[in-house]
Amino acid sequence: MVSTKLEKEQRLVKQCLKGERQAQHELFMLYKDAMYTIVLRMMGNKEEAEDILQEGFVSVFNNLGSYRGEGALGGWMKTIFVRLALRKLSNKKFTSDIDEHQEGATQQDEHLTGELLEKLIQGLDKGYRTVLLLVEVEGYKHKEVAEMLGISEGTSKSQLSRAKAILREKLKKIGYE
Amino acid sequence: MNDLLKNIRQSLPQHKAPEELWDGIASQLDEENSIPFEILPTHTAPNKIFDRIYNELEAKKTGKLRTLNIAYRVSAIAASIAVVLTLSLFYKSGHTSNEPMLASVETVTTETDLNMNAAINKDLQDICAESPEVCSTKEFTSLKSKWLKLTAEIERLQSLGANYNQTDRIAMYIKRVEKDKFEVERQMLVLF
Repeated sequence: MVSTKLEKEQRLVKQCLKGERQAQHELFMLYKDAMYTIVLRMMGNKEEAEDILQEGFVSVFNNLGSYRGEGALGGWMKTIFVRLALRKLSNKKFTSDIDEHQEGATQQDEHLTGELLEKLIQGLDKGYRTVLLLVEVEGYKHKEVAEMLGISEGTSKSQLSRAKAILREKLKKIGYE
Repeated sequence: MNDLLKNIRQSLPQHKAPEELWDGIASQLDEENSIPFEILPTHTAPNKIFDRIYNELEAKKTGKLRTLNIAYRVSAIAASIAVVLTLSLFYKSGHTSNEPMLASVETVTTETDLNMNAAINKDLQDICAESPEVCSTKEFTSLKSKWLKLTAEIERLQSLGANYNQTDRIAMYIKRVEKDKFEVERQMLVLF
């Protein structure tokens, strides 16, 4: 099963390198939701996420030649999208929307829902949110996050710890212990 | 006895707890207070984005072809300049009997250059319409300004040649300025 996926990806990469539209579309369909989800969580805005998705896939197709097949294609692509999103975030003025999100976040279900958790994460300061998403959700190591964000590993660890503390506090406030 | 025990206790070595222990404690605490990130929803990207991606890729491909086209023209002109300069130098070194041959080469290359020059200018304008962000950079505008000055200089030299009928020497000057101009065009192309 794994080798089939790998073989399919290798075939698609070869065809994409030749500029075959059908293969490009197939690769897009294979990864679009995963990449969109990452970017949307980071940006918190659909329009910006769509723009990054477009820019990211153009970059993927234009730079596929530099993908050496050493790691997973998805991981290589993810790095492109994450870096693009980080670049956009760094150009974006931080506007604190924590209160707005907290006001909207009221407990309605007995169990915590993914949508509510996502809303609370969106309400975090962009620095905390980025580290939290990259480490806890996307599985990057602190060393990698530090390199991507241009911060120290220690800062990445403390940002994450603080982010989780804030998140837990928010959850507590709305009744999820 | 008490003193003996006290002494033994004091002589026992002190040990430092490994710093990595903290990571274990922290991760255990985290687990206890874990936040279920795995329940985060996934999102579906609109399929229509692929059309935008495809259009952008196509536009870049067209741009690249045009750039190659200009690059080909620029190199063709550069080659013709080299021919004329060689012949001009040959002529200046005393081989006056070659005058008719030199004149014919100059006529041919000048017409070709004019046509190619117009085509390059048109291509650059088209590319600028497609990639205004490149053409509005300081580097590009500075090159464009040089390009305009060199174009004006060529026109001035051409009018001198017509007035004084000194086609051999002035043609050589023109070719030199043109060479500089093509170098500027080459630098402009690299920016795309």
